[in-house]
Amino acid sequence: MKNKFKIVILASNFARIIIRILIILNRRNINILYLNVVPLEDSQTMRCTLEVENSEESMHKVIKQIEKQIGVISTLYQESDKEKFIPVIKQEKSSMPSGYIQN
Amino acid sequence: MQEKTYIGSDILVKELLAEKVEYIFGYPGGAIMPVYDALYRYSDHIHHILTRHEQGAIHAAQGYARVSGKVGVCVSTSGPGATNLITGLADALIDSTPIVCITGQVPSNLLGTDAFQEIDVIDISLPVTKWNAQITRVCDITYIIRKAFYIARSGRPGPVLIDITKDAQLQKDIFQKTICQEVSNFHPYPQVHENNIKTAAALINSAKKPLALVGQGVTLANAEEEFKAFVEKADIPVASTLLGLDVMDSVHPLFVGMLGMHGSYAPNILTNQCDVLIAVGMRFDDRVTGDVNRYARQAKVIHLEIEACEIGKNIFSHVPVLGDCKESLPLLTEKIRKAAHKGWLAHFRIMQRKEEKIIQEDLNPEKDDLTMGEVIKWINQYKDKDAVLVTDVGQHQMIASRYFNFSSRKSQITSGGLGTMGFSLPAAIGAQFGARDRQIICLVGDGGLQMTLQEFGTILQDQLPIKIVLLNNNILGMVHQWQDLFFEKRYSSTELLNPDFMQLAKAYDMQGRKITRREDLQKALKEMFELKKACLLEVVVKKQYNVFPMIPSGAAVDEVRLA
Repeated sequence: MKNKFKIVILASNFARIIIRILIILNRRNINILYLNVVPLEDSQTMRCTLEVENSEESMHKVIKQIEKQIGVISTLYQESDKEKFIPVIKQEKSSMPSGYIQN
Repeated sequence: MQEKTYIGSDILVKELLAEKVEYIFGYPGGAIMPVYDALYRYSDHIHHILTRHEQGAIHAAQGYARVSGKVGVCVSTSGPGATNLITGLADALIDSTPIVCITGQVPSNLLGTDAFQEIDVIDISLPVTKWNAQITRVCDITYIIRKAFYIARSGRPGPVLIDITKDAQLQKDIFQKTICQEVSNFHPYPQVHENNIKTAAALINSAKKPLALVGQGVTLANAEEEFKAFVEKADIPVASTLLGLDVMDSVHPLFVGMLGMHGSYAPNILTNQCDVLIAVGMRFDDRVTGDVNRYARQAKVIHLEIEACEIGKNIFSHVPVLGDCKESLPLLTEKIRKAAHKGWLAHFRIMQRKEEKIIQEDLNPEKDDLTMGEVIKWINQYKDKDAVLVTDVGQHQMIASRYFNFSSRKSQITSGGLGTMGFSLPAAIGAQFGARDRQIICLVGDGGLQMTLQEFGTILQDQLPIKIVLLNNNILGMVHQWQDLFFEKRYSSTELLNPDFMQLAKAYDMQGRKITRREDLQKALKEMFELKKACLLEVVVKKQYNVFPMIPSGAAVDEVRLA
């Protein structure tokens, strides 16, 4: 089932990072409802906010692909009608998410 | 005193030398001419290999990278020169091959004007590169080239493309030695977590029927010995992916064969019977898993992987062990108990007997027509022990993967993920430069050879002693097989009317020999391997021939067909 998700991406502000993110979504035929890009005060980073239509399972995989891109600093996502953002587990802090076997 | 200045192209070549680049594969053209001029000046230090097509250059760089473990470098001009690299970039991305491609570009003031040979290669190559960048100012060359090499080789390797405008190649600047040891917001080596190792070890220790799946990640991490120590301690049978075939000796008692669509019968069937599945440096490709909903549902999956997005992408992993397997495997080996799984291993041997009929028909056929399998059997007999096998794509690739004796590190080069026909000939050229002392065997079909046939010219020019074995069945074998099995024998456009390959060999000063009879095969192979120059051995093989075992597309791994 498809839901609406809001994604917030913090990334280095270089020219083609937005396109790299959009390619990930386009390749999977994920519909983008809106896109907003704001440079942050230091002008070295930007915040990109998107709303997309996607399934929960696919969303998790897509976010991991976005996280992989060189220049992406962090990513958060949530279902549009919920309040709490789900932080994405970054590679260097690879603790185990729930659902996995715990020691 | 004023520091000495250099033009951008000189700085670029000096930077390549600082990265210890010895070989560059490429093709010159208008927008990259200053770089070629610099290469002329530095020709004592860097050997440029002129291929006959840019696709040949990038596949050669891939072959070089795969056999040497170093970053392969290829250079081409703007426009068509750059677009001809796309297939190779895609191949390198999906097969995790570290290469840096440098393309020329029109001067920066002409960007976006539809100038002669102008193409926006950065945007075209975005989906097929790990990273790419355009250099429009000479002052950026040093940093960006260093960053390109660092990104290409770090973590899960991949292709990087650098587009450099002609004016940046000609501007002057000082040359500064810089070192790139990290890139901000790029974490190629995730930390291995002790807890995950403990959980994985506990699961392995409790396993009665464990099965290890090994992929190219182990080769890329140079962790073959660590992997061997791990499986030998726990006595775990090992099945490999197509690109992981050279991780272990093919004759190792724990090695049970290749996985997937044309893999061995036993590991495919027993994937759905094991209790713990340990995947190391592999990505559960659809050709390996078949129907994911019916793949190893009974098993607990441990996945050792360097890239977070691969974990859980196709198959849920109960215990993900993120990190470089060079680091995680010894930690795991330390924590597991020495074990023996004799009964379970015997199960594999029993299953293998079911495949025996196919193996006999392939290797020791009774009928007159030569088979691909028997050619591989005799290649095994006469090849050097550490020979490198470079295969193309199709039936011969699958047969070689099933029967070739991989007995040395980095002894297999093939196009796995992308399945690029025409890959093997240029990749063999690159491999010969990456391993000057090793025997390079290029195994190719009649379809694939004709896709990059022009590279015979490169072999001629550089006098490379590559052994080309052409398995000629005068059809596009694998497509023909699918038409036979799934399209009611409607053989649409798979028949080939081939040229006289012996005349082609003669034209390129190669030793050529054509074999049609079984009694000539052994002698011809033996003579070929004794020669110190390039040879083309054409073996006319059986036309109506299907590769089995086979998992039909969309079926489960335990639905593997033997006929």
